[in-house]
Amino acid sequence: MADAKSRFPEDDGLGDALRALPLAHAEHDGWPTLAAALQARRAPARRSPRRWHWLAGAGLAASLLLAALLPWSTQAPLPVVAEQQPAATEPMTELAWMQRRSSELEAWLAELPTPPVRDGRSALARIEIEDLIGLVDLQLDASRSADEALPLWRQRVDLLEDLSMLRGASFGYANAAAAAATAEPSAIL
Amino acid sequence: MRSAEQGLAQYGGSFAAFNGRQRRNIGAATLCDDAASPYAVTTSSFQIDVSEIVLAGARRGDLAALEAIYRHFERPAYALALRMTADREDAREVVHDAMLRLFERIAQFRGDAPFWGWVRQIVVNEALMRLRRTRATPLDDIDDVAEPIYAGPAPWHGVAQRELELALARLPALTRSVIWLYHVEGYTHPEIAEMTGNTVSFSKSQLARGNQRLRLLLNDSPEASYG
Repeated sequence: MADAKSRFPEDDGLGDALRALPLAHAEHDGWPTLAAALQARRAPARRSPRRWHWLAGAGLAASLLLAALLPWSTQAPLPVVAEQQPAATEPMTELAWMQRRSSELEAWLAELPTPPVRDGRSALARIEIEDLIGLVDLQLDASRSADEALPLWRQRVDLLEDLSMLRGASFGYANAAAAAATAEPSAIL
Repeated sequence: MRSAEQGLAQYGGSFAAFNGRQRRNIGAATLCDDAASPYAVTTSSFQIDVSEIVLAGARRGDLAALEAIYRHFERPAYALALRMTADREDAREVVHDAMLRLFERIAQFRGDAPFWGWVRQIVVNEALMRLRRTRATPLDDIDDVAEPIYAGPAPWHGVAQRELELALARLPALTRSVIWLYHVEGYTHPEIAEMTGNTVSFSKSQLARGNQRLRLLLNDSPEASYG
């Protein structure tokens, strides 16, 4: 199909008309909620950093052992946290958020087509991230409580977000960089 | 509500210099050197420069720096999310989730691309994910039915903004998003195809059909005129 701009040359004016629409703004200030969420997500990490490091190390060692024995597939179902204890309200709330977020990201990634291999670095990065997610899943399987699972779910979400950025946004970053490199000086000021 | 100036007050009053370099590119389009879309321009309201001082503070997790960034990008982020979702609550949640994700990743930003482009990409991804999640058939295509081709003067030149807003809101979510991302944000068809998990030809057809549907809706509008 021909590009719309060649089909309807006057459609170029649509962009001007759309940009002339008033810029909407939110009725409520979202910062207080966002700041609270940021602080809530930082707080548990500050409470038990040593425990998390021990857990991560132990989990990694166990995962490496298990990975040698068990085949791992990226198509495995979402890990189920074993014996989630009804601990403090705050960690449980964040845990639920992380699990939901993880599920959303996974569903979103599953809908993306398999990307063409553009360069070896991207392919290696993708494989590495997927491997790390697999390791986190193994640690999640071994977690015994919500408190143990929470930092793992955080890590899982972080990795999925990295993967989604890698797969979903590479074009955007590349273009933004190209735009910056080719921008007229007068347009930057 | 605290302003960006207040949030930046802790950074030695650098806001004035920062604000002086702020670039809101509406009306000052930057040409993209992109063979896939030779007419594409980046005209995004996201095009705001953020100082290295603020970015350094944000990388350290300084809440005042994060707030300053939030204040700068809140409005373009909300406006873009609202155009894509056509729902105020969804748009608010998109901004919240996108900013949360941005701030948790900000230490990884290396500065090899414009910061605003990174922010915008995260907002677009969040909005697309929300569209997929919140709608039963979230990214439905416009039916490929034969519609009369309007080749006359574009109706959006003479129509009231409110009418254009209403017509835009009546388009399917994906079609509306493609139109906005292409015409306003300056994304190319390959970029839109990648982000939405579709093909380049799909993006092009969505744009063409969306434009045609807008013509249809606006030509039926009682306020349509071509004076």
